[in-house]
Amino acid sequence: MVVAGVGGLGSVVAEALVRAGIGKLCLVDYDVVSVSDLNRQILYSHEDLGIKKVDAATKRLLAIRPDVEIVGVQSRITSDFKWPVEPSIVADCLDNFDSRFALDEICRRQEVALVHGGIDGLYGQVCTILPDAVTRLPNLFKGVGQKSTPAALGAGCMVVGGIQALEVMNFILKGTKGLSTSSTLLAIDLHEFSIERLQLA
Amino acid sequence: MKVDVRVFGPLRLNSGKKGLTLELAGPRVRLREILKEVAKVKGLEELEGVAKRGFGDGAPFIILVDGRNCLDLQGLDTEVGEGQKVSIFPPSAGG
Repeated sequence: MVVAGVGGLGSVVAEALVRAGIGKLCLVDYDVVSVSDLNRQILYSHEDLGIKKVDAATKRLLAIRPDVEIVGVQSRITSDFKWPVEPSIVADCLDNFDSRFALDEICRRQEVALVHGGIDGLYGQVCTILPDAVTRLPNLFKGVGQKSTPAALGAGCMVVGGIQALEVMNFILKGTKGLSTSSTLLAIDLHEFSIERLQLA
Repeated sequence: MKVDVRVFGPLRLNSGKKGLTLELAGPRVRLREILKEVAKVKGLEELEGVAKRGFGDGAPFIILVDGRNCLDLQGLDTEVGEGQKVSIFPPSAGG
């Protein structure tokens, strides 16, 4: 599987899947570790500052489980991005909608399921886009403004990223029938601690 | 006719409401008019600006009508009928 974006959400998804026993993981991120990442990006520590995220993440994940196979790619996600592996499923842990729409296009073209997650402060959402979905990310989020830098805390990332990781595990264990968020948007509210399901068309 | 409107995120926090059921005249009402009614609720006043001026450069909220983004329909001119559900939530961009 592919984790696109190894920041707040991607760190949680990757670590949860490695600890659960996944055999192979591809990590994609263009960035290097900054001090402002350390409040929520659980794969990184102070000694990783300035290092490529895919390299620091790989080191940490291999320290947890040396037998896992990890492929790291330092790149932005654009519509002509080529996977280094054939993914069975992709986790969208990106931090902006332009990149998400490009990722959605790649997954549609290659007929791969996409587990989307997003977080801003105490609010977040998760939904899974299947290859034949009518409502895709560019439909669902059409017209959204590109807010500069959404704030997030580690605890919030653990909830939203944790749900994404569980949904990936559902897929690995039971295929598309095991998914709980296909054609459904989970609206996650960590102010009042609620998760509500919105049925998508 | 009755239309259920659910709000999420800061709209819920500001208003103290998860949603409301509007009773409106006519078999169908444009989404713009529904937003104006919802904006009369304390804490949801900012929706009046969306109703009057549209989304501008970027939508602070996604508005779904029966699970479809209104911008994939007829925008604020989308007609809503009896029993349809309107959901207004802030998209979270971070990752």
